[in-house]
Amino acid sequence: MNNKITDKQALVIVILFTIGTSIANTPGRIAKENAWISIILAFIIFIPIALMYSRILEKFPGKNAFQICDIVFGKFFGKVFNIIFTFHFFVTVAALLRNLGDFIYGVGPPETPMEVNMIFLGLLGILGLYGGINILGRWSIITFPIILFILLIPFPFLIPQMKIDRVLPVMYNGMSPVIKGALSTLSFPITQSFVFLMVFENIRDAKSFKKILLRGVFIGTLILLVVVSYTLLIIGGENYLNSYLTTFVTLRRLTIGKLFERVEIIILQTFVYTIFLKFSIMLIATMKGIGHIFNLKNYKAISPIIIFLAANIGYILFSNSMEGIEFIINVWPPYALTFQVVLPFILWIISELKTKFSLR
Amino acid sequence: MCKKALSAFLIIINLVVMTGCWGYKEINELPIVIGAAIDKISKDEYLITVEVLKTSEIPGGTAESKTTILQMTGKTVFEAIRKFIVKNGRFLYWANMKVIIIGKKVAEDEEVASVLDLFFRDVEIRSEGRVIIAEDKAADIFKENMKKGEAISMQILDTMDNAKKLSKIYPLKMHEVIDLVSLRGKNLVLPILSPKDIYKETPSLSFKSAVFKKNKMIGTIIDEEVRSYRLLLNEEDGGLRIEDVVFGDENSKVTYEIEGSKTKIRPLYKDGKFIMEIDITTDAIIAEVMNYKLDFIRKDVRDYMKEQLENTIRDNCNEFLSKVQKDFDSDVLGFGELVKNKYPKVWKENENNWDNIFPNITTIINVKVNLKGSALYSKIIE
Amino acid sequence: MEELIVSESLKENIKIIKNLFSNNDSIVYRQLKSKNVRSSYCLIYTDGMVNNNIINENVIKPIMGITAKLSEVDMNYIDYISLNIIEINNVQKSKSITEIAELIGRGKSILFIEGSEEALILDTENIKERQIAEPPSETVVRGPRIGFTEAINTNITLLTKLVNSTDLKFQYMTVGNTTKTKICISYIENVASDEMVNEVKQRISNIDIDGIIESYYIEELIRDNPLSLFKTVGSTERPDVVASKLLEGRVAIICDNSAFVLTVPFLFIEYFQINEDYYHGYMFSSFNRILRIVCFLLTISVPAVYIGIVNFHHEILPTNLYISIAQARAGVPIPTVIEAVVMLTTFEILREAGARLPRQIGQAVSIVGALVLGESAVNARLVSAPMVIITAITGISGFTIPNLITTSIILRVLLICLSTTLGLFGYSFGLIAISFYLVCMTSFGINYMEYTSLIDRHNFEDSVIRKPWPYMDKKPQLLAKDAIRLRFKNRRKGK
Repeated sequence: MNNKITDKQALVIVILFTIGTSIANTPGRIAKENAWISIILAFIIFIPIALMYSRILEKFPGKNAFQICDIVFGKFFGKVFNIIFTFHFFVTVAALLRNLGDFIYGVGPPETPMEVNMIFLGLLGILGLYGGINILGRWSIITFPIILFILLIPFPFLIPQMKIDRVLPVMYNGMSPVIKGALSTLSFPITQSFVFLMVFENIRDAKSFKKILLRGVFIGTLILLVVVSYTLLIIGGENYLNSYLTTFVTLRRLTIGKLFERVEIIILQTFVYTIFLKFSIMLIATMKGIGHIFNLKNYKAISPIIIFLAANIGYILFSNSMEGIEFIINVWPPYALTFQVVLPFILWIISELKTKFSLR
Repeated sequence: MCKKALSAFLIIINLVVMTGCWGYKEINELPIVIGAAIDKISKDEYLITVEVLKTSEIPGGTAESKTTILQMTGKTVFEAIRKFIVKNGRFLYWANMKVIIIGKKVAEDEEVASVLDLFFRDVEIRSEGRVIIAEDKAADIFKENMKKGEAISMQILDTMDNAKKLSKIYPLKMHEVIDLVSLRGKNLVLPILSPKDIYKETPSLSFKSAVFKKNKMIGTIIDEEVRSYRLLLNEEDGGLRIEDVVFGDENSKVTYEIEGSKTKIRPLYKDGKFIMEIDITTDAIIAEVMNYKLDFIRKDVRDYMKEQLENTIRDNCNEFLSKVQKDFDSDVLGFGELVKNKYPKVWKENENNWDNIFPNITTIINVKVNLKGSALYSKIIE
Repeated sequence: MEELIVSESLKENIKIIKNLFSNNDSIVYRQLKSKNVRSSYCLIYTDGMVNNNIINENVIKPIMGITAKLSEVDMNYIDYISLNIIEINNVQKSKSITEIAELIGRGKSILFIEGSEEALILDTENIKERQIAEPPSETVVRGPRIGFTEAINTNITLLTKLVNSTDLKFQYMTVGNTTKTKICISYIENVASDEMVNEVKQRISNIDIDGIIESYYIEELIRDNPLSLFKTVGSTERPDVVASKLLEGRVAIICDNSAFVLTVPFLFIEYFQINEDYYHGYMFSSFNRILRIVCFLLTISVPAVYIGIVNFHHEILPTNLYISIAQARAGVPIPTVIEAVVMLTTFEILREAGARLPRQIGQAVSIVGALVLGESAVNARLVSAPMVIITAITGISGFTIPNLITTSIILRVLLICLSTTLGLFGYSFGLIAISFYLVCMTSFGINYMEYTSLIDRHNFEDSVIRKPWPYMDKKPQLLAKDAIRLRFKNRRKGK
């Protein structure tokens, strides 16, 4: 089974990936009612970063970022970088598992322990891994319109409950929470698209990678912006910061006639689909990294072990949802930005220098 | 091959059997809570009264739902609720709760938000229930089941809806209450209910509402004032206004049916002083003219009637505002929020001083009435 | 067994055949002599399979009337007979005894000639076959009432009549070591891709089985993945269906003794497309197609979603509905899951019993079903009334797509299990797993889920809905060579 995916499939994968878990754990919490500004700001900051990502791939067509590290940094440092990147993806995998566990724990019946949900997502992730990017692309194309439809349809019905003064006054608390919110959005989910450098090695050419990346993240961010704006207009800034699952609280207010009163869980099932996709891609990247570091041919076989490890780590990441909010706001942005922006930046600079020198 | 299939089968069976069905609750096992009442009976103890709907089976085929009243005490609201399980053997199912009644003492002594905290935090409890203040003790409202077969909470809901249509009260849902509580620049107003409102044969026509300041109840307002309150909030629901029109030598009682109103409040900040400009536009229909000789086709008659109605509305609003500003000193209309939205810097400076500033705000009310028509007949009945 | 060949001696030949067909009393050995005394012949055929008239008039009579002397014949004697004497439309020669033995079983008669190394094979078959009638498994309101029969020649003629093009090719193969069933591979040359045809031929020639009784045997033996839940080879009893599939670039496999013709490849979307969509208006057809897709989702999801909502996520129900369901369930001793499984099993029992019973008793099944399932069970408080409704919806929506009944049962059970474990989230996990499994499948190299994505607009117009012909100027033919997009010129003017 060849691993080629078409441009359209890649685009849809990027869109779904960007939406990812951010439907439920909406970004830019700390900016409260100015979160929408944070999101726009985050995307603007992302544009040069995306250009940097695609430039890395342009220089070495047909290779994924693990191999590029080896070429650029030499054998030893290349391996070091690969280990660092793989470790980061592994931690993201753990965080995603924890995310789903928390979500179902909070929303669904609370008697089911978190581990069960994590194991189910893990099993699905292994399915995704064995299918490969190819199959994930096909799957995304089929499910994307349905997910979008189910997700966005309820929002127009909430218009009567929107009050514009929940978003006013703009920038009441000044620029600093907005910037913090933008950084948080950048780190999760926008620059997580770095993982596509590892995974999208068989797109036709690097120019289309740039287009796909920018367009995909743009559309994904747009959808997020719509969701976040609706949420802000309905539940206001304070609630936005303090609720663990903001979209859930928003959708609770939905009443269409008297019939569709309590359908938030049905709509949030789409969350399971998007997190499945994000999780599969992260898992593929992690397993590819491990395969590359240890020179394994059949890297898919050890995935169950990695899943169990990740589930355990996810479990101990933070103990309860308050710590969870604090984790997302304070701990994750600097950590993730280092791995997703700073290190690729180093990679890019050195690759530029190397090709300059090799040309001479 | 056989081994593989067998092991896969065993794994799946184990997974399903050992991991399954924790959250599995049969639908007919849970008693449904329809209404709750919170009281404080001593310094440390809360009294929770719930009305519970239980489906039980009657031999002979059909099942019946009865409502029962349960009570429990506890140091906190949640503890009292938990104790219900001891009594009942089952968790209570809160998702259908329609009303929450808070006793007067609780509303006066404690912050409403603290009492409601549990209901907002819990995922299962939906924040759609209406919050009502009881006239005296909340538990009294659930005293008896007057009409057999119908839950008291549903009756309360009906009463609320009727009163709402007459513009006598403004009921709020729980999540709206929580939203208001977190706003600095706006205070709560909640309807008050007393047992005689539901238990009497003849429905009562007068309803009171409680005014809050810093989430504690400080006073009550009554019918007409509530109406002005709703009008100023841009939440007018309609209703009737009756005027005595004297024109020439004809004296008539005219009933206007209010179709709707739009109210816009604009804050102005001039020379360190706050001014609120309130523009009210009301659409009215002449519904009934008691003295048919009053010829309201004529323009001057209509102008007079319009002006009279405008004056009435303005006077009512002014009365209400002065009561709220001078007597209660509670910013129930959200002037603070409006200032915050328009003049954020000014609000930041004056936020903590708002209690002193609020009574001194000048309000300018402009009322405009559109007489939209006179129902079916444009002529008087001769 | 070594290859036996025809020997020159007539006696030898008859002995060989009699050996092969020992204990077979249905073979007739007719010895003949012609007027030129030197020649003796033997006619061998299976009794009842041949047209006696033709044998009498066109074979035996002319042979007996041969007057030419051996010396006068200047060509090979067997050629002389086949060209001048035998008055039959299809005559062939053969040297191989195995071939001859096979053809005797097909109704052909064999003529052995003294002194000749070859035998003549005469087309004299007269096998009684069923009348061409509307196929009972696929009836239409509007459309041709013709169905395939069990004779392969008839089926081939039906197809040729529909697709009257010289590009329509038929190639015969034999499958089955003992049954030696004749099958025919049919395709339209410039439309079907060569790799597909070669792949089909190769897979069929790889079949090593003793007997092919019905075309389903072939279906299972040439599939991409024999264990998969969903069909990857389509089958139908109607020539118009096969003809339209051939036009789209598919390959048909016609099997002797089977009225069901296989079409290859078979995509998921074809479950929901029937020929009648093209014989009715486009709005009605589009509505029906969407309805079928919705019914498929209903039939696998409804029990699982019901269990998920009623047992896990009670908040979804509005108060009144909650109270009614609670009242309906009060007093029912078994938990909802067991109820669901019992009801669905009962439904399947009824269905299977209805299929097996002879027609006269069939009425009783429906009465029993209504009484047992409906009235008595609910009155005795063994099951709750909502569960009966759920079962009814599930079963009936399953019948809108008869091809998917078997898979629906399995998927339904899987989703019920998952839903019992984790509520609606288990159901979502299950759906993700099923959709992923579907996307992984291929049918003869083509993605199984081709045409189902709503993003590629052109693929969408003939799959989920049906656009009217004047607007379908680009008919997708992904299966065809070079992915031709046909352009039809019958668009209305002025559009």
